[in-house]
Amino acid sequence: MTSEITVEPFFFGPSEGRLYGCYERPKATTRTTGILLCNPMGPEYWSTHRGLRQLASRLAQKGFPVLRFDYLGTGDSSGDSRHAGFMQMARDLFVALSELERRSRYTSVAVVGQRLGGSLILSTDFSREPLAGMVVWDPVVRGAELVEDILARSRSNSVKSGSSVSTDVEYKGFSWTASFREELTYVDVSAPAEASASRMLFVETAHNEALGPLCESHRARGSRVEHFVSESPRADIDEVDRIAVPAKAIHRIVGWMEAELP
Amino acid sequence: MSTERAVVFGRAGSLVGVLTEAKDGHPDESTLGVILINAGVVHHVGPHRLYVDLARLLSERGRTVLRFDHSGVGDSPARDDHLPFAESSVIEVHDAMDWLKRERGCTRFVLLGLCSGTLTAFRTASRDPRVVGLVLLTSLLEDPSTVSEEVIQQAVDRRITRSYTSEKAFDAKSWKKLVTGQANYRQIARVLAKRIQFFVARPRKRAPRSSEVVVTLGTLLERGVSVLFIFGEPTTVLEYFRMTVEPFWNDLVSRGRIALHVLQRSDHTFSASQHRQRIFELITEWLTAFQSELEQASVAGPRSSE
Repeated sequence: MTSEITVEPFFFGPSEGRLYGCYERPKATTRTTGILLCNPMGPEYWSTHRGLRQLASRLAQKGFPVLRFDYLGTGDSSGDSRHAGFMQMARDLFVALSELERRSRYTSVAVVGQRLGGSLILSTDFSREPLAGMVVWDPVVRGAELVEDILARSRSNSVKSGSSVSTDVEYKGFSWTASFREELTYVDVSAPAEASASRMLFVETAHNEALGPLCESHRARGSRVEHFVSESPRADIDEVDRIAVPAKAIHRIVGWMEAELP
Repeated sequence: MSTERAVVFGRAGSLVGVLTEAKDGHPDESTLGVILINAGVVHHVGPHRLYVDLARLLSERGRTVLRFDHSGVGDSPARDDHLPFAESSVIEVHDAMDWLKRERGCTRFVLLGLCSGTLTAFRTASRDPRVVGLVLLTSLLEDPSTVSEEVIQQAVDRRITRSYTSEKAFDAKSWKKLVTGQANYRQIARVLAKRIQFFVARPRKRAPRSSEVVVTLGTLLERGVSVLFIFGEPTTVLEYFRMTVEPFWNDLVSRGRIALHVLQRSDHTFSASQHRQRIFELITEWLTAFQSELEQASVAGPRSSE
């Protein structure tokens, strides 16, 4: 494995908000598509890291240059939870796309987003640089539902904070600020205005009734859509102590990209 | 703001880490490097970003901190040589120390681990004299696969008992669960009956057998290695520590600088920010005292429960 790809960790982006990235470069390839992976947020960030890392390696072994990165205020990137937010995720996505272009000199790009990362790529306007493909993995379809979920779980699980003045809601080690929660209430990817990408793969590893209609909406707008449902374990928000690797989902995503992308 | 640099090092040039540079370090302190070791398969960010926040805090206090991923964990690719993790993990911490010496002139090291990372730190310290301090969070200093099911069950029972006889006795939510039938009656009854039986027909106290872990700990303390244990309570790992290491505590204290802190109502990864904050305070206090006592490592440290 190690001989086929090179792993390059680095910091990039503006000096006031450095982002951490990990670029997996195939040593030899004829592929012309670069792939950007967009993480989930909150406790799901670290419980899904291992799976996304394996996905990146598998894709790089198939010849795709792959960039994973941490949003501002998360992972290794600068800042803390006060700097994290959905709007910030969108800004970071474009900074990361530029970095991927600079490093890989691809001629086309595909994006993969898991959970809130999936919502991010669905709600982003890529019209300036049309995507060769998009993989949406267990997206949060309505942000307001996630906020309700966070509030309910934080009430039942968290240790009472000493600072009652704070409007942050802490759940499983991540502080969701009031501004982040407010931004999330505006996130609704259930009714796309236009096609997000010409080729799309929706991956469902935890049952979500909204995904079937969402796939239909994208088909109706001209995308070629595959909906893959698997029994792969998803690192659930309640199970951050367990690091699940969803092997079937990873296998399908790699196979789809290999077949669909240049 | 801390200066951070993504680095790749190790014999195969494949270990990925982040170096947090010491800020305004005292010249004497710059020779002391801090290495944060993976908590199980959680990558170098640490559970709940604990390692990122700790590295940044320590760098503000003049420490050089390296957090990295073992091969096959986080961002580091797997090794090609199929070495067992128990061996490769120690070799890779050696590599991290060698790299910090070459790049930053560090000659002495504090190793910090959480959960299984404490075992790697402990194994490395027992083989490498450059290690002068250990910070062990939720420490299990034995390979869990070598601990018998029966002993693990005893530790689990003790944790449940402690949870129900102290913490949950005053928790309305737990009582509500109990009276509405949502609690696991069978398990609670089995455990409590066992504990009552223990107190009623308490066997004659036998001197506990000193384990290899205790012997190695004693040797490390005599070598001048300072050790800080921090546990959350109630946790099974803490109960296992109480069963296996605590009976020898006074002897260990007499041999060197060793301290134990228990954070009440905490889980084993310290998911609540207030617990992580307390850990940061304990570690910085310990490191400050440690720095001044580095040359006289035989002084016994404090022991407290909070």
